[in-house]
Amino acid sequence: MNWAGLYTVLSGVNRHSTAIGRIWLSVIFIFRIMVLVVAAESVWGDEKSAFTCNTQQPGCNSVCYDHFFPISHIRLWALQLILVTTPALLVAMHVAYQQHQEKKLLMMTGHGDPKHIEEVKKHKMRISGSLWWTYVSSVVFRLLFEAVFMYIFYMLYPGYQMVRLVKCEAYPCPNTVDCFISRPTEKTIFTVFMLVTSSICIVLNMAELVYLVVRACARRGQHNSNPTSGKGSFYGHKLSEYKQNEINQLLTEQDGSLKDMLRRNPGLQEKGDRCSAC
Amino acid sequence: MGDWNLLGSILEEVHIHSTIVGKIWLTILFIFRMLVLGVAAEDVWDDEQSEFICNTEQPGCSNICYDKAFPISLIRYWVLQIIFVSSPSLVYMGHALYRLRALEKERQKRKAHLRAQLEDLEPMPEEHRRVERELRKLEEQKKVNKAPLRGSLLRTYVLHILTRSVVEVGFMIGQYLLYGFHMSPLYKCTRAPCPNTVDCFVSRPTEKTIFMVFMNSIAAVSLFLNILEIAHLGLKKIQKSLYGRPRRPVAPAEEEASLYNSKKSSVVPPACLPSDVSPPRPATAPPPPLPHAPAPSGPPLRQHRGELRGAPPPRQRHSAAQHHGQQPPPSSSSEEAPRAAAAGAGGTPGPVTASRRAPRKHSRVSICRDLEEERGDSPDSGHCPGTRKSSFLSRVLTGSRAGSDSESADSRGGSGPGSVSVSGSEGKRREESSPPSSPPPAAAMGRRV
Repeated sequence: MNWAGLYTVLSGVNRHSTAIGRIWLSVIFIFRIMVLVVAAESVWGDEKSAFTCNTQQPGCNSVCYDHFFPISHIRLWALQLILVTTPALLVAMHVAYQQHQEKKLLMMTGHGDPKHIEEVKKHKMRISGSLWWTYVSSVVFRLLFEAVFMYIFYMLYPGYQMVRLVKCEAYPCPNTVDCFISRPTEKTIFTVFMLVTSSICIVLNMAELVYLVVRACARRGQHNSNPTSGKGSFYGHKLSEYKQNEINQLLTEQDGSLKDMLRRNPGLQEKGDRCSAC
Repeated sequence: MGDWNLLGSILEEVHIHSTIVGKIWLTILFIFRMLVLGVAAEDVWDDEQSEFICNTEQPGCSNICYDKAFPISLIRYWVLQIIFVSSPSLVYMGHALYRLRALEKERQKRKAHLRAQLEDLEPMPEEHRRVERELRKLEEQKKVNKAPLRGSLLRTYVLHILTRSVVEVGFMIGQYLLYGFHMSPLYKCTRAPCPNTVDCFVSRPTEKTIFMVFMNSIAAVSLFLNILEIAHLGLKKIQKSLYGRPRRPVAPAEEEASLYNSKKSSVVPPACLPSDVSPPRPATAPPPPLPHAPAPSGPPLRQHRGELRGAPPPRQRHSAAQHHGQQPPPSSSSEEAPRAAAAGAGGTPGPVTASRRAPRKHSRVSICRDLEEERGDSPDSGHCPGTRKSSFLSRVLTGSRAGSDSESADSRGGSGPGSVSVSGSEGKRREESSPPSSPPPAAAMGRRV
């Protein structure tokens, strides 16, 4: 499994997101995952092999490297991206569950033909009711994970900057030993870049949150003025939709059949006309 | 990591045949195990051997000590774990596909059988139509994608979850025995040819510790999900055995049983519809002269049923049973039996069948319910000579009316057992907002009128 697999999994979720959610997903994939895979990994590729300490003592290199880089940037970013994109799956599961309920409803009201069921699968879910809560909690989790990882980065690598030289005293290094990091400037540039994109994603998530809340309030205001629609009338609403559809269909069919009948028996019409004439 | 595609695509197939918890388990497997392994963890263990440095010049000592320290690299170990943990799912999927194929074959056989029947039954129009309808329903039935989880398939499913859990626990214990929960940076090695004790240093021990803990916790979460799934299945089974069948559209067999239950309502003729029917179209549904005549046997009985079920959803078995007043109870489920008994006299077929049939035909005209047929209930009832549209209109119209009718009917009460089914149907009405079935007492009302 690789990032492409994650992409296919998440593209499905895209359909049921808000516009801001879609922008967020694009930013994640283009500016973070792609940059990570295409550029950052090669910058950090030789981070251990090119980490050199001013000593011949075997093992000192490894120990000092381990001391200063408990977890590499690349791995942290990979974990961050995975954890940040995963809450979207909650929404996907909820949508799948709602679609399942709709299908059952269709069966119950007798619209269980494959055409209707395909329709259910295709049409976009409205973000309201319990789905709204799931969506909001997924956005909140995203925000949380981003914030936590930014904090971890700050704790591990203060100033979000890669230093050129570190002084190491861990066993078995004799006394204090100078150790040198490879490509510090390039690493700093990429660290700052990923930090900036992370902030953009945080801003997008907050905007999405605000948008959802405002929309929900607006809808509630509408509901208050319109007493017939109520919370929890999801199924009632759906059923009345289906009934209305069927009525409409029936009426058009009936018109059609009437016309057919008249066409087939022109005499009838004439008679009718004649009758109406008299 | 190389190519997870094969396993991934097979597991996608398993996804379709899993329960909800199973799907969550699979998602966690894909994302938190395979993805993390491929994208992050592998790079950490890349230079495991090249950077394993021992404090000695002795040739071969490094290799020997590395081999002693890491009998199997954790990356390979996790790959094996993922493969072994997903394998029981493949066995289950094989069984599910086999069952699906068997179901499909059965469907085809039934279709062929019905077609044969169709040819034989030419003379009898009602029977013919019923068979035709059943055949049509079978043909329209979309190919089943997911095998129902019961019987031997359920057993396989439970077994596969148990196997999965055991394998998971085994691997977790194995990992603990091999490496514990923490990777220490220093490894002291005394294997020949290393002179005395030699210090060897592991590369990236902290990062490796982080990933070990991460993978262990994901394994624990998966184990927990397995336990949850077993508990969920067990609970469902317990519920089923304690509370009987849950409320859902009944299978044809059940419905037949309910129909055979003579709910005795003295006045009411077979059709629930009469009550709906009479207000909108009294002409087409003259009240049957005899309130109390059981349908003699199969076909008439089933026609009966068709009309009754004219009122929408299938859950109306109570009301249907109610209507039926007088069916001999050839097969009754355990819950129906007492009601049937209570219904009392219902069971005796009478000579009035013929006369009953006439009015029934009329009511049938008004009340064509293809609905249940579409839903896949037992077919028969098809004697609404092309009045599908009119029936739909009536259904819609009665839908709006049913509320008031039923209430008035309820107040007047029905026959004794009728009240039971009334409450049942009321409960059912509350459950759905679709046009409710006309409850039996309402029918009775209509009839009396």
